[in-house]
Parts: sequence; structure tokens; C-alpha cells
Amino acid sequence: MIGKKMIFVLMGFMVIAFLTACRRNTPPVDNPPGHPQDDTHWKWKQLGFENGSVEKVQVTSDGRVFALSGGKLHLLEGGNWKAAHLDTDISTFYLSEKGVKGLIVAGGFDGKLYLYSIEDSSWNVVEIGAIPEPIDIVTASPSTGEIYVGQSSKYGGGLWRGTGGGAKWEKLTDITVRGIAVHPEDPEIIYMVDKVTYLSTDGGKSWAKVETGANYGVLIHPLYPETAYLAYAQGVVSARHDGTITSQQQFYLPGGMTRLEFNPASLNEWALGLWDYPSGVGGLYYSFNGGGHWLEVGEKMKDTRILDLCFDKDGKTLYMGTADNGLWALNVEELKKDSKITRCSVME
Amino acid sequence: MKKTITILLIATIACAGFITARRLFNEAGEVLSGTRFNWYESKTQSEIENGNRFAQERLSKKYHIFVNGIFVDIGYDWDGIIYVPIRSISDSLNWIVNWVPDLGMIQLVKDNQEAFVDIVNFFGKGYVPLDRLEDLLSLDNVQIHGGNIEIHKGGGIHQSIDSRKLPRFSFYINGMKMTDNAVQYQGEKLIPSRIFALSFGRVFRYDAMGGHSYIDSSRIHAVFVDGSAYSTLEHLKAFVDTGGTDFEFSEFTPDTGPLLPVIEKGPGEKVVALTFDDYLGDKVNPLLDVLDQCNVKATFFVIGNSIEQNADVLKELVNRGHQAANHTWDHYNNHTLTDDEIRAQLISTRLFTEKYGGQSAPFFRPPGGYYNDNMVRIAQNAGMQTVLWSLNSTDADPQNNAKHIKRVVTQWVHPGAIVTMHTGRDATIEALPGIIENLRDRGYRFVTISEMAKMQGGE
Repeated sequence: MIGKKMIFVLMGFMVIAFLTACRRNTPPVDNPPGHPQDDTHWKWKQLGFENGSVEKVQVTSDGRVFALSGGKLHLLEGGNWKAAHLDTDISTFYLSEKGVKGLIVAGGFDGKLYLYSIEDSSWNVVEIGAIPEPIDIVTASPSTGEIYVGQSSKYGGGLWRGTGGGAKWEKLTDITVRGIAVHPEDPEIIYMVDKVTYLSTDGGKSWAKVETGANYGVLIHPLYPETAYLAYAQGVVSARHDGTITSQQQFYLPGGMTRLEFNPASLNEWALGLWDYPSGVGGLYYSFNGGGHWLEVGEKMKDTRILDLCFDKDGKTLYMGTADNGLWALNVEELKKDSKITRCSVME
Repeated sequence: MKKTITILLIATIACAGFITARRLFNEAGEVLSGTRFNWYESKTQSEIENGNRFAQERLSKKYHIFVNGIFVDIGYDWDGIIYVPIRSISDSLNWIVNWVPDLGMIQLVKDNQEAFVDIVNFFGKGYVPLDRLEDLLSLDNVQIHGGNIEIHKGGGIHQSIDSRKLPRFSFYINGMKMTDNAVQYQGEKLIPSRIFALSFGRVFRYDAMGGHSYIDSSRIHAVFVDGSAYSTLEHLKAFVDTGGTDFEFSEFTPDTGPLLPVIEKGPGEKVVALTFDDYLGDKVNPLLDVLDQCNVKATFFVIGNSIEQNADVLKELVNRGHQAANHTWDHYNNHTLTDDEIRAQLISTRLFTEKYGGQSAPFFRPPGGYYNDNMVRIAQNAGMQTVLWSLNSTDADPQNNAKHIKRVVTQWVHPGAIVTMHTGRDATIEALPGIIENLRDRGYRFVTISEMAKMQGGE
């Protein structure tokens, strides 16, 4: 009698186990070979520069990946990195998808600009009148492709605008500049960041002070360009394009921001690099509700110092340039399936 | 019959097992006390040990910062980036430094210049990368060599006397060692002006542009020895209200001799010491009311800079029979301070506790549990024994409610437990009656740290 019961119980277990096995998804694979966009069923990919640092990463709308590591520019082609050889080191770069096609504008540590043609694999040097100190930032107007260059040092600096694929340059201001953002639709609206934030609504002819800092950049979401988000170590200040501050949002995370980036495909999905310098811990955080709550992603980015973040155009892949841990890609779709909510740790 | 006996036996064993398991869960700290299985106590100890080891490692690459030749503070290399304290350096270059709490930023203002600066906050001290500061303050020149950072801006470099050529003394305030770096120069005994001012809770400021030193807003006369301002005691007494304080110079002798043990827990009797750390403020009186209602005396480790404006609270605390002990003046991580700065943190807190509370218990708890043998000796030379804790109530985490705090304390309490709690937390006040009732029912008696030390043959 007992034996019969046992058989039924065991059979029941077997049926449950079978059904569970059928339902279960195959776990995502870490680090499959090839380019991130070659397949979809993965979560993390190490894209190179193992044990090295990647200071900046950019992904074009057609999926090409560019990385700045150790002062050198690299292009990911067919799963391999190709260095864009230049005798001098560069401090930053930007590839504009408007204007001259395939032109990368790189800022040197010597205050010069270096223009790289992807097609010809050749460099051209351009003097814009900057002092021989590092160029801090290069970006471009998303709507016109005009290039903006900022420099900030104790010896001076300024903001420059280049047109015609970097053929013609004008200096807009002597204010030292370490951050620039241009409105995605209205090229007349420009933000620049030095010791405080400045706003121009007339294409850089005049500037008004916005009474706050934005040491981690000004972000304007392409899906909601009415608001500028001024990023500081602990959160963001939201402002309208007349300079009015509308809100302040502290993230209350256990450390300071190293980088903030918006998912271009989703208004409320934000990625953030966090680092607490005194304790040497941090990593990647992700928010699905516009910074209201942050998920500690952990895993491959646990206690990794993130230097740069970049989404692909669909917002499905997040690229992370790190200190001493190379370049990584994260499948955002997989993150959505599997994430845990962080709790801020509070010291006594 | 046999079947009935078997069933009864099984039921008895099950009951006993259930009761044991329940006790093991609810009174785990007590049941496992003295064994290596009391993991919470072990965890508490290892948290303190690991925290200290980690802090010392992260603070090991340090730089002494001099502005125009005068020592102002200490900076650190964190992950290859040199971080320096923004307030002390900016202040020495006459920038107004405002903390903007809504943003967690610092606003620097000077003449018509303004800057908003993100900081790395480490125990209440703000740090920024050195190259960022160089840019912000438009420093003329920054040189790094050896363990020093030399910053130059305007003005000249102020020459210092080399202390190695001078006779050296120890200097005491009310029997507490303030420094081993007093010197004799041109027939006069000189003491470090800044450490003296800080030892009396006063603000010392060095103006690197003019080469002048100030206590509060009064300019003092000082000579510079090894990059620090020195003055005579008589001169400094004109700027600092020293009341009936005793001062003494003695021949410098290196500190040797046995160290007092650090008190981590009491004897193996059923006694518990409730301790409350941090600021005096509005929430201390309600806390005292709860302790009074429960007839429990506790020990408060008070942050010195909150005493003067809460003098009535301190008086009330002492009048009701509780002990006020030392939690330093600013609650900095002691690993970031020089020996003399630690001494000033302890002396000022003790002087203020005695002045406003009438008495001070001879105990010191390092903020965050950050300490080493050197600090234990410094405290000892200021007449204090170092006290840690064996049971962290976890009330420092604002996300922990009263129920959680009560569960942690009642579950993990053990004979001789020193429980660390905090002033200024509503959840702590709410949890206390339940904790006290539970422990009393289990036969525990509440003692102060002094009583606990006496039971161990100390004090």
C-alpha cells in the first residue's frame, strides 16, 4: 500500500520536474564571441582592453563601436580592434553622424584637434587657438552636426564651434569649458559647464548663468527635449531652457556619480556609474523610473569604476568603459529580466 | 502500550526540539555565548577589524599639504587620483566655503567668482581631485614630491624653523597630553597654536595669502615651525577662554609602557551596557525619559561640537545619572587625523563635557570603530580607556525600524554585551522599552560602562 503511494508521489514529482524543465529559459550566456549585435541571447560581453582602462566609448547608429584607451583611439571592426595610429595621445573624441561622414574629431593633450577620416584612415591636425593644455570635451549639435570643443584649465580655455567638417572655427567664449550639450532639435540652445552652468538660447552669442553646477554633464533626452538634466555627483537638477530650475533630485546612493547616461529609446531608463573613492567600491546602477529608484546591477561591474557609458541607438545594449577592467557590453533586455533592488548602506 | 510510549517519547523529543530551536532562534546570542558559533558577535568584531584594515589600506598613500609653505591638511591617493580636502585649502586662500545640503555640493565664493563643486564625502570631510582644485582656485603652482603636496598661490613662501634644531617638550592640558611637539625657541616655550585652539573648541584659520593666523576672527602672533603656527601659551590664553585649566610642560619622553585593554564586552555575567553615540539634540530628552521610566542608566558617547548649544541636554543627562563619555569633537575618521589632531578632538570634547555637564566618564569610543593601538595610547594619555561594542543594534541604518532593532538586540544579546545605539533616532526610542523588558525578563541587569569596567577590575 505504502509502496503504491510512494510510486504515485514519485511520479508526481517527475511530472512537476518535467514541466519545470520545459518552462525554464536557458540562462543567458556570458561573453559569447563576436560583436554584441551578432546575437541576442547574451547578458555580458567583454569587448577587449582586459586589465586596461577605457576612458570614452561611442557607438554610431549603424552599430560601429569606438573606444579611447590609454590616449589612443580604437575602432571595433569584425570583432577585432583596430588602432587609429597617431603619434600623440588624445584626451577625448567625438564622431558626429551629421555633417561630414565618417569624421572623428579628437582633442589632444596639447590643445590641438586631430581629425580622423575613417574612410582614409588618416589624421589631420587643426589649430583652433586653444592653449597647450588638454581638450576637455568634443561634441556636436545633433541637428546640424556643428562641432563644439571645450577646454578648461587654470591657464584658461574656452568654447569653440567648428563648421564644414572642422574646416572653419570660431571661438564663442573665453569662459573655461568642461561640459557642453546642444539641444537635439534646436541648435540655438546650448549649455556649457565650467565652475557653474551657462545657457545660450541664441546659438552662443550670449550666455546666462544657471545657478547650479553640472560637473557630470548636461543631459537632454531626445524623447523629451524640453528639459535639461544637470548632473552632479549625488543627483540631477532639472531645468527648463529658459534657465529656470524646476526640481532637484538626490539619488541617495552609496557613493558619487562617475557617469550618467539616458537610454535613448526609453524616457525613464537611466544608467549610472557609481564610485566611492574612500572605500574603493561601486559599480553600475540602472533606473527604470527616471532616477527614483536605482538597481545595483553588480555582477561583472561590481566594484568596477566606470569611466564612460553609452547606449546603442535602440537602447538595447549599454557599453561601459571602465578603469582597469576594459570595455564591456550589457544586454539591457536581459537586465530587465534579472535585477535586484539595492539598499543604500549607511555607515555608523 | 508500547505504541503509546513510543508516541509519547517522540512527542516529548519533538517538543524539546521545538523549544530548543525556538530558544536558539530567539536567544541565539545567549545560547551561543562563549562559543565560536555566536556568529553575530564574531561578525561585529570582524566588521570593526575589517573596517580598520580597509581604512588604513585606503588611507595609506597620504600627502601632507602645504599652502605657501604652511601645513594645512592631509590628502590621499585613491585609485590613482589625488584627493585633497577642499575646505581647509580653500579657506586658507580666503574663499568662502558654503555647504549646499540640498545638492550635497560645496559652493565656493570669492569676490565675483563662484563655483559649485562636487565632493567626495568621507566622514563629514569633503575631498576633491587635486587637479580640479588647481583649476578651481587657479593655483599658481602645485608640486608633489615625496609625501608632500606644495601649493603656491599669491603671497610668498613662509619660512619655517626646523624643529630638529630646537629642544622639544610635551605639553598637557588638565593632565591630558596635547602634544609632544612643543618647542623652545629664542628662550620661550612655544606650542602649536592650531592644536591649542582646537583643544578648546575654537576655530583656527590660516591665511596663506597674508601669512597670518587667526583664532576665531582674532589675528594671533605666531612663528612657523615645520610648517605649523606656534605661539607662547601666554599669548594664546589672551584669545581663548581657558578658565581654571591647568597647563604643564614636561620633558619629551616617548610613550612606552603597557596599553590599557580596549573594552569590547563585559564579564560573563548577565549584565548589559546600553550605549548611545553621537550628537546631543532634541531627541535626547525623550530618550532619557524612556530610560528613566525603565530605571536604566546608560552611557552616552557624545560628539563634542554639539555640546555648547545643547548644554541643558547634557546637564539633564548627567543629572539623571547617566554617563557622558567621549566620541571626539567632529566625528571624523581618526585614521585621517594627525596624532595632535586626535588629541585635540579628545581634549576639547572632554573639557566641554566637564564644563557643561559637570563631569566626564573616562571613556572614548572612536567614531565608526576606526582605531589602532596608537589611538588607544593617545586616549590613554588623555585619561581615557577605549570602548567599542559587542552588539550592533543596527539602528544607524535609517531603514531599520523599531521592530528590527528590537529583534536584533534581543536575539543576539549575550552576557556582558555592550550594545551600540544612537541618539537622534525615533526608531531607537520606540524599540527601547521592548528591549529592556525582554532582557529584564531573561535576568539581565543594566550597567554603565564604568560599572562594567569595575566588574572587570578596571577604572
